[in-house]
Parts: sequence; C-alpha cells; structure tokens
Amino acid sequence: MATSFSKDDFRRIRLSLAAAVVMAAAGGAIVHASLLLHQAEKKNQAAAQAKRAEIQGRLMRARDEELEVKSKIARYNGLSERGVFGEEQRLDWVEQIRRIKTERKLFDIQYEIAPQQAIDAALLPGSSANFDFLSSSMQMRMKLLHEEDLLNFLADLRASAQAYLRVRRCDVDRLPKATGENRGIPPQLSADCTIDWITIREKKAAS
Amino acid sequence: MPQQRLLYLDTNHLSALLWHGGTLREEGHFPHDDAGVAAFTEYLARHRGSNFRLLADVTDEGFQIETLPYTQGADRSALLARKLGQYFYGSPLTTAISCGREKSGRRDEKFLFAGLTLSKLFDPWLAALRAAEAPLEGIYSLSLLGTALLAKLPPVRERCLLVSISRGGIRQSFFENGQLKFSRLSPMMANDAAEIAAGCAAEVAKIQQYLLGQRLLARGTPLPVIALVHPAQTGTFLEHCKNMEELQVTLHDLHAACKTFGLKTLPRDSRSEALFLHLLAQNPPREQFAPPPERRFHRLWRIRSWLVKGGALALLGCLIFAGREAVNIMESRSATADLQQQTEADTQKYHAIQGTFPPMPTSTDNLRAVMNRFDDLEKRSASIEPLYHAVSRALGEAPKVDIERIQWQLSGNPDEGIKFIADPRKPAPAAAGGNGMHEVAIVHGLLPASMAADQRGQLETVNAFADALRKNAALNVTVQRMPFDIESGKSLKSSSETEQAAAQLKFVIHLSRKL
Repeated sequence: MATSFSKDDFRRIRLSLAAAVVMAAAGGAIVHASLLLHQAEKKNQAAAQAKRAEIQGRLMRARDEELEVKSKIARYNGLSERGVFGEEQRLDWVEQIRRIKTERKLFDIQYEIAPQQAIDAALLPGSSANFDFLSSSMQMRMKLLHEEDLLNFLADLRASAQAYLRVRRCDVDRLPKATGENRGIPPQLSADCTIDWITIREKKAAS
Repeated sequence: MPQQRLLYLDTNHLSALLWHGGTLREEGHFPHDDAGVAAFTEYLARHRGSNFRLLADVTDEGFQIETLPYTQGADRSALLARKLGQYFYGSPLTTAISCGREKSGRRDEKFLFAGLTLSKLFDPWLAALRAAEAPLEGIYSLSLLGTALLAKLPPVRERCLLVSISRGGIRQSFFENGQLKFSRLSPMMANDAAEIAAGCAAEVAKIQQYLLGQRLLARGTPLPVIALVHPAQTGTFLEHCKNMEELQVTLHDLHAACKTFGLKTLPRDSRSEALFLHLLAQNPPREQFAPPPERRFHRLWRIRSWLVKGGALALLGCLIFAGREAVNIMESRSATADLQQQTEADTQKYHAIQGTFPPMPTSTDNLRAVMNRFDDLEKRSASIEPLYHAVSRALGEAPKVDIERIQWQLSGNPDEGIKFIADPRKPAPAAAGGNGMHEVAIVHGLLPASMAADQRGQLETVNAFADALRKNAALNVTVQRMPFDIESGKSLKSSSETEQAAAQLKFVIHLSRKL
C-alpha cells in the first residue's frame, strides 16, 4: 500500500539529500575540471606539435637556407659597401653629378632633390620588418648633344651613387634648331627626368 | 551498513538478537509486561542505527485460501485489502500470498490470506519501535520461512508437513508444491525430549485429521512429515514418531539443516527458532505482515540509503571518469614533453647549422625581409636603355622615320598616356590592374616632308616602324596617331600642294613592357 511522503519525512532525509547533491555536484565539478585540464593539455600538445613541425621544416630547409642566407648576406654587404644602407650622402651625390658632368663634358645640368621620405607604397608595396626604405626624389633637367649623353650619365651615376638609383620618369625632347651663329655644336635634345635616390635605414630599437 | 538485528516474538517474550555473518547472539530477552517493554525501549536506544526484522511465532495466526479474478494495479490492492479486512477484521497485521494462477478457465488467481490476529500482543513492542524511530523492515511469521527451508531439504515432495519445535511450541506447516497452505502452533510446556517427541506425534495425528477434514489432503494419501530434530534426540523421536501407513515421518538433522544454510550458532536442543531467524536474516520473504506506518522509518532509512548511495555512485562515476581523463592528461603531457624535447634537439641542430653561417648583419628574418623587399624594388625598376636600344634598332629598319620626343616612365598602368585612334566609337580598354609594374614610353615620330603627297607611303612607313618595334616580343606596341587619318570615324579632306608641303607628318606610338 502506498504511503504519502510528509514534510516531516522530508526533514528526516534532507541531510542525506544534501549529501547526495553535494557528492553529485563535487563529482560534476571534478569532471568539469578534468575536461578543462584535458582540453588545455590537448591545446599545449597541438602547439608543441606545430612548433615541432615548424622546426623540423626549418631543419630540413637549413641547407638550402644556408645557401640563401649566405647569398643574401653577400648582397647585403655589397649594398652596404655601396652606401645603400645607412644615411644619405647628399654631398657625395652632388659631387658625383658634378664629376660625371665634367668627365662626360655634358651641357648644363639642373636638378632639385626633394626632402627624404618613406618610399611610395604604390611604387613598392609591403614592409620589411626592421628596415625603412626611404626615397629622395630628384627632378633633373639637362641638355644633350645626343641621347647617349643621358644614357651614359645615368649609367655613371648608377655605378657610383651611394644609393639605389631608380629612374621613375624621363622625357627626352628634340630642341628647336638653333638660329644665328653659335660657336661649337649646340645641344640637340633636352631631358626632363625624375630619379629616386633610395636608401635603406635600420629602425632604431625602442628605448 | 547498519547492523542487522532480529526480534523473535512468542506469546510470552520478545528476544532481541544480533545477526552477523551467520552468527546469532542474543542481546536481550524481554517479558511481555511493562518492565519488559521499558527494557526493550532502552535496548532500542542503545542500538540506534540498526535495522530490525521481527519474527512472530504465535498461536494466533489465521490462514484462508481463496481464488479471485485476476486483477492488477490499484484494483488488485483494493481487492486484497478488502479480502484481508473481511478475513481478519480489526487486525492490521495481515498479508496476501499469491499461489499462482489457475491453468484453465478464467485463469483466476489463488491467494493465501494470512493474518496475525492477536495484534495486542504486538502493540507494545511496535509502539516502542515507533517511539525509538527504529527502522522495522517487516513482521514475518515462522510459517512463511518454511518455504525457503523446504526448498533446500531434499527430497522434493508434492505435499508435506513440516514439524519444527520452537520456544512457542510445536509448529506444523503444511506445504503443497512448495507453497504454504496452512500452519499451526501448538503451545507446549514440556522440556523433556521424550515429552516433546510424544507431543509432536500427537499433534501430527491431529493435524492430519484436520487436513483431511479441510480436504487439503485426500483420504488414503500418505502424508510425508519432516521433523527437524537435534541429532542427540533422534533416537527419542524415533521411538515416538513412528512411520505409519498414512504418515511417513522423516527426522531431519537440525544441525545438518543449520549447516546447510550457513548458521554457525548451532542449537543445543531441537528448538529451531535460531535456524528460522537465520533464514530471516539471510533472505527475508517478500510477504510480511507489518502495515506501512510500522515500516515508515525503514522506508526513510532506505530513501536515505539510496540517496547517499546514489550520490556516492555519482561521485564514484565522476571520479572514474576524471581518473580516465587524468590518465589522458598524463599521456598528453608526456607526449607534449617528448615533442618539446625533440623540438629542443632540432632547435639545437638548427642553431648548430646557423653557427656555420658567416657573421650576420642582422637577424635571419630581418635579413630575409629586407633583401626580399630590395629584390621586389629591383623587379619593379628598369633603366631606360633597353627601350632606347629597341627604338634605335627599329629606326635602323625604317630610315625615313625621325624621332621628335620620347616620354618614358614607370607605371602600374601599361596603358598610361594611350589614346586610341582605331575607332573612337569603341570604348578604350580598361586599365590593367594588379601589382605589376610597367615601363611605358610614348614615342613621337616625324616623317620627311617629301612624303607629304604619298599618303599610302606614310602609312606603310609608320606601320613598318611599328612592325620593327614589335619584333621585340616583350614590347606591346600601339600606333596612337597616324600622320594621315583614314579612319571611317573621322572626316577626311583634301589639301593643296602648298599646304601639303608645309604640313608636318607626325605620328605617335605607344610602347609598354611588363617588368
């Protein structure tokens, strides 16, 4: 025969009920904590696995990398010796232009070098970690007897410049024929060029 | 686990015994008076937390057999309660034992209704148990335990009379197909084995007549009688309980029966209540006489026990799960440690290889980044010489052409400065996008004035010059303007010889090359 469960009966079992709830809750908490720990450990393992794969890959590529790095060091040193790395040497540039003009017996050369700034992202997108690519734009006008004068001038400048030289624009136009009596052969062409003097400077570490 | 305590009630006394692992130890013997009840109350107070089962061995026990329609659930409970009320009016200590359903007809169910009719004998003890909030599991009759006893006393008989001697007297229980049909306790004052044996013989004869009268036994059918007797008293019983035609008496060694059931406390005489108490402790029958209010504290104890066991089971399950997870964590940690060790070893090897590199101006990553970007810069730069040489070679193949101007520049758009002359009604092609750099040159050319009257010659000369430029496969050559427009989309008019002589035969060619 079924018997009803009274309030008094509930009072008599409440401690056991509380114990059961506490044990179940403790069990649940233990399970939850173990799951969290396991998850964290799996993450650690995955990270260790990824790191291991990365270093294994680097190790496998090490020989190739050795050649690559050596080649890059050689190029770096070459550019560094040329003065591409470091501060601008504008005085040297001016002197070089003058020297080439004299040696090549060129007509008058007019130029204006703009203030240095970071290279235009449209011309060279991206970034290079710890190095800044800086550019000083030079507007140059010169009279030429022949187009070879321009080519020789640019070749000489490129060979001796303490910067990487990048011709951005060059407009060569035939001059109107000279009238009257001039001594010597007058210039036949005029050139109007924009040339970037590009240098690379290592970023200073934040103090 | 709480201790199991057994209460044995006869007409005059209540005994309290502790059962543990097949051993019975009597802890109290309480006479049926106020002092006895008070002593029992004290006993209960001393043994709080124990579970109790009460074995009644009293004369006032009634049995009724009836066949009822088969019912289930609440109907069955109501029907049985009504029948018990009818048979044992006023007695709360009753029970209904199902004897199975009939094989034919409506397949009605046969019941044995049993009741302990002298409830006042129980009242003071039950009141003491209630007051002490002692968990009473049930009230059992000695006759109900006979079924379990007979099941293990060979041979199996269709019907038999089990005779046992207890403190209450001589108990005779009649079983048919292993099921209790009737039981009777005959009080006995004698202590002498011979007197007891004689009493047994007389009572067996009486009960046989009763069974015949109740038609529980057919006339002429021999009645097997099993009597539980102390081995030392077997001879005495054999003298009095002789086999007859209608009574086939078998004396069963009481000690052997006790050993069969694992009772370690062997009785000193033929009284067998210890064996029945042991059977009750080991495997209590499902049917018992106590109404639910008397079992309330046992029910609460069971609920408490289930709750604690359930909680403990849940905790254990969680601990096992957590343990398995802990093993997984340890394995994972071990694997991670192995990976870290291998990584460390590989890193050292890598650094050893790096050690063979020449002195580094900066870190490897920085060096790679800066030199890669410088390579990009070089790829996106060009000198003007190659294009000038290409124009120069083309001039060699078209000597009539003279160059007035060359506008050279680097541009992301290969069509920089282009003006289409092919058909002004057609839309100009969209500027090429992408990150590629192009060198673009707009070449302004001039034809000699002597060709002013030779329009076909003008066009052929310019086309020959353009074709000569196209021999350089990298160059994309577009004639932007001809000295003489023959396009359908433009107007064409004649000119005099003087005008023709004065006109300058200019053309424009657009060149581009992807870097």
